[in-house]
Amino acid sequence: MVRASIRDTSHRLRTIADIAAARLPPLLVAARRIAASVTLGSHGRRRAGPGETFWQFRPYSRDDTPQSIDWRQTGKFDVTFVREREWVAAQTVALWCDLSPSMNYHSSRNLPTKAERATILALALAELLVDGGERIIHLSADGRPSRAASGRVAVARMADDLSTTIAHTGTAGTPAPLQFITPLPRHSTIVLISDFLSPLEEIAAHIGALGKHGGAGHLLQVMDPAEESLPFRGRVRFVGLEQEGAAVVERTEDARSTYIARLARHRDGVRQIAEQAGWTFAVHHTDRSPQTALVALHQAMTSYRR
Amino acid sequence: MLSLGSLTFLTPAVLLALAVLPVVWLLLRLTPPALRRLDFPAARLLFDLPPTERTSARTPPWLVALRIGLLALALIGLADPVLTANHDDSTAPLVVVLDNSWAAAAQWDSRMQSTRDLLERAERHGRLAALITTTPAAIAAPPPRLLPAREVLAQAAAIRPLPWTTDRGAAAERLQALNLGGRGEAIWITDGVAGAGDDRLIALLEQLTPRTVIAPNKGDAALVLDPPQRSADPDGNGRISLGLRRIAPGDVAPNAFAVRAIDKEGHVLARTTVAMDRDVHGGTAMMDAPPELSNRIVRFDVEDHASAGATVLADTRWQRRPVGIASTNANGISAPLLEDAFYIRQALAPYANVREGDLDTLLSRPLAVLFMASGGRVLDTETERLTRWVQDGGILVRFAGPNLNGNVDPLLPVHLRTGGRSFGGALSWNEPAHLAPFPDTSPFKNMALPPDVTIATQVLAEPTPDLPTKTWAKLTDGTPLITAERRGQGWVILFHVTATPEWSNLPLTGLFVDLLRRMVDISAGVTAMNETGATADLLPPLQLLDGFGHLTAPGGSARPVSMSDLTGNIVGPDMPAGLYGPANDTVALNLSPSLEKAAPIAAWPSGARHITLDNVARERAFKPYFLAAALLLLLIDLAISFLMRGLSPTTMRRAATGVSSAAVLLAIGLWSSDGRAAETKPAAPIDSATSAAILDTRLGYIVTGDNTIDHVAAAGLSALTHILAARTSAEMAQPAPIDLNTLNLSADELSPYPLIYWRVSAAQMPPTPKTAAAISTYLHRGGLIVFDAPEQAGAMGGHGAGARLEAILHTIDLPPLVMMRSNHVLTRSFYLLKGLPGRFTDSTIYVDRGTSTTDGVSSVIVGGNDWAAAWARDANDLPLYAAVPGGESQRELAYRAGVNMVMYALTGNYKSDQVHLPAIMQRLTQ
Repeated sequence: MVRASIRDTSHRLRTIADIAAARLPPLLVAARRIAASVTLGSHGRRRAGPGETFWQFRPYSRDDTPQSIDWRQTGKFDVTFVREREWVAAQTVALWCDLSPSMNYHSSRNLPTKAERATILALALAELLVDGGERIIHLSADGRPSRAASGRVAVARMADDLSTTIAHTGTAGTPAPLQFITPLPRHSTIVLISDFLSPLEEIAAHIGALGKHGGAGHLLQVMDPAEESLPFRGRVRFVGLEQEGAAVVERTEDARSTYIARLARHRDGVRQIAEQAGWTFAVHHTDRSPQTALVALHQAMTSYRR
Repeated sequence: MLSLGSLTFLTPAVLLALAVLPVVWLLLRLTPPALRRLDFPAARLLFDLPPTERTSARTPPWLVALRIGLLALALIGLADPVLTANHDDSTAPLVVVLDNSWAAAAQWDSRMQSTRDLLERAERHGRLAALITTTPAAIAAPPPRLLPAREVLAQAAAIRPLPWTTDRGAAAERLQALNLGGRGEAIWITDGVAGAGDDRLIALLEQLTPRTVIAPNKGDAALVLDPPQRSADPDGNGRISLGLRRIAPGDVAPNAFAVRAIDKEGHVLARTTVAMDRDVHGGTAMMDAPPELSNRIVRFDVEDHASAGATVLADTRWQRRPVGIASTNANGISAPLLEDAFYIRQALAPYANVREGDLDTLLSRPLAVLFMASGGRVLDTETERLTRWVQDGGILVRFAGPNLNGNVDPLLPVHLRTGGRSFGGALSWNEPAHLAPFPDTSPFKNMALPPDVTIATQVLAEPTPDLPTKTWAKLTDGTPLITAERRGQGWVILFHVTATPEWSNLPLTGLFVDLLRRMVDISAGVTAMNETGATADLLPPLQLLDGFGHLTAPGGSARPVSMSDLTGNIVGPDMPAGLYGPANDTVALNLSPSLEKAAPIAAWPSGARHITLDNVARERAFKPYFLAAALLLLLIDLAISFLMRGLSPTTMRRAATGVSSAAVLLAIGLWSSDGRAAETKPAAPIDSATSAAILDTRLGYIVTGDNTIDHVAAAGLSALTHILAARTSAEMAQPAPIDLNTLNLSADELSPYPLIYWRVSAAQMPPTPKTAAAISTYLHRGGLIVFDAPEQAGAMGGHGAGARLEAILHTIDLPPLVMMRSNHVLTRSFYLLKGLPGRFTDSTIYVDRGTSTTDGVSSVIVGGNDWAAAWARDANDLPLYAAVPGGESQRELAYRAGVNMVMYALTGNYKSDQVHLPAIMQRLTQ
């Protein structure tokens, strides 16, 4: 009996892993392609230290080892020069990508779902960060952090986790409640990618829980264009995707202005929460290219560090 | 009923429902459109909208209009709108006089349609009506009364055309009985054939106004098909001629009618066309009918003209019976007018299948009646055989003669006295005797008796108590002339005179023909005759014709008739046309003989409006059109509703794309399925390789895809072509490669090559079925393929190329392969060879046995001697491969083998006589 159930479970896991493995390459490839198109300078410490990239030449001093002399530069001048490299300190970045049912939405067949776009952005960001030598932590759907890791393997593992989660949201019923209680390494940067449509109190609670670790944070709101403009007509019964209920709207075109106002108010609320925590807030629409969002996000992170 | 101009609503009550439409309008306006369900992540933001914005959306006005229109169309449709051509408000009674005779059957449907239309219109106007049929029914109809038109409609539905003539006098009486007092409208739907009492009916109709005569369409005149006459054409082949008349007034459109002869199963045995010009009212249908075919005919009729008058039934009398005339005239003198059989033959030839010969010949085939023309005795050896034949139903007719004297044999109906009896001779007191009327027990009893028959000599019967019952014909003095006796199923009949005019002039009279015919007639079925030989008095009806000329089971009113009644040819309700008598001996009573005097109606009621059946104004009912339009609107509304309920536009678009692409496909399919378009397409242009092969004869080789093999094949054939040009008159162009993988390879591309060399490689795939079919066709058309599988000693079996060769051969349709014998034409076709050596010599050669279509020439040569390798030479004219084991002498033999193959392909079995050369030489030297 027990053996049988174990065998069942392992079988189920294997099936899920198969699904995940099937999804992994396209996700990773898409993310890598986007990341490769974003060419940014390295965001080093802006001071000499152990690192890969050139920082400055300075005259040789007695403390320097002869191996550090840059002979090519020295040959041009009378002074002996030493080549210094920029110090790159590995930063820990915690990434969280909202995969709740409300993210599983697209208004048109031609647009990706918000979850797809968020996943790709998260992976592309992870790819960029890992390329820059940072360490990443993946916050799972229920808020548990993974071990900090660096290198391509970390991105692959993160993609694996995301795929598994997506597969789970497809099969399992209610997702585990999101709570960020496990502490993160101090001063780690936090990136949250979501539609942030849940009530403001919930968002404030989550950000408060994460912000107490002292790290900087970035919120990226991924929205479908239809959520922005409510382009529907007629008598519609709007059903929420997270069992929050339904609303019957008699004339959607009449309700549009109200909706847009409410959405703006909600977004202001999120932005305020972010600012109070000292975090940044950006909006991305699924009909725009993901590169722009990635560049913006990446620059926000590097500029903060500067 | 409600009339708006010429538009009439039959169910106007439904129109009241139109009043509800404004209410429906309001309701439709108020009802909000259906709620769409939409999954939306930001639904939370739409909760608790301010109530001012809960304004209900209205159904768009155009949609409301569409739905109202739909309802209105449906309601108007249900109200039965009818467009009447001429609407009259007359309330006078309507009298419809309907001719339902045989002549009306041909256009019966349009007659009934007109009758129904008239009565329905009368019903709508609430008029009284009466329907008077002019043809007397078998069961007298109740006197007509003026009834509401609805009830008259029910009466009309039961009226059928009757297979006899009209009696308009009786109809006039019935019209008179209505007591209209000159008030009422009269419509006479006539068949156009004059009948008894027309004038009385016309006089009565003239009292009514308005009056209308609805006549048959021009060219649709009633047809009468007269009974068939048999004749023979100059070559003696049977012919049937039938007269066809049409009963129509002076000018009548030209027309052609097809007269058919039909057998029991309904097959058309013969069909002939009678064309009638304008103003021509009669014609004759001639049919070629050999006896075996004409005996199967059971009816004649006119195609597409179902009427009893144009139907002639053929009874069992019609069917010819084989008649034999046994001539025992052994003296060999042929004097036509004195020959015993001459008069019998002349009498029966037009009616029966007459055979002549001795008894053995005649009885070897089925025979109905046997005439023994020369009076004489039946030999003892034949007595038993003839007795058995008579017992089985044969009719033996004997004639007296000088040799028939006394009871010579048992095959006589009566005991004869010895010695004959002469009247009116030079030494006699008596005058020649005359015939007495036929006795009642005789089958000839209804025949007319010609007064000039005289009997000079006869043989006499012994008076016995049963002699009168055996007598079928007697003389005025009571002595029998024809006696008959039943023997089992058959009869033995004796003419007491000769079959020649020696003893009487009976054979010279028409009576003789009738007597013989009647005898032949009773031969097939004699059930109408009772045991004593008397004709049954009454014949029960077997099947009767209805007005359309179809045979039906006799109804309750049918009663048996006597034979004499039938010969009178008076057809009427009491004696309808049809078949009478038992099933195997039917007598047909046809309508057409009684129609000899049928003529078109000459006079019409004065002041009557004349229209033809086709011109009768029809009413058009619009109900189906309105309802169809409503249904169409309903479908449109359905589609709109789907759209508005959120059936996604992309789905709709895809469905539309699907529909349109299906339509495009359908159109393409229709276009391409147009056979003529495909046929008129010009032939595909001939590709350059094929045209080159057509212009210059050349050898071909199959490209295997293996470069080495292909190179060897090309080099080998090229060398062989040089050899052929040098040594023979076959000067061919360079060999051509043939790629079997070419698309659309057909036998046409292969046919220019007299010989195709196929060096099989193990790597080559067997040809596709289409290619294999092309190769098979090439071979059947006389091509030759040399299969060479040079990898091992035995070409068949094994693996490698041999196995591949077998696989290839399996796909091709070939006669069986046999081992090539040493004297095969292949070894003689140019050089005299012992075998077909190539690079190797040890392979067994197989050829196919050849078929009759290829003149016994084999179409494949299968071997493994690697001929091409032996032939092949490089650019320096040096051999490419060594020939083993014989070296250069073997190579020379290989070239000779190649020359023989090509010669064999070009000349076939031309040199097959070479095979016999040793024998020829031996004979020459001797």
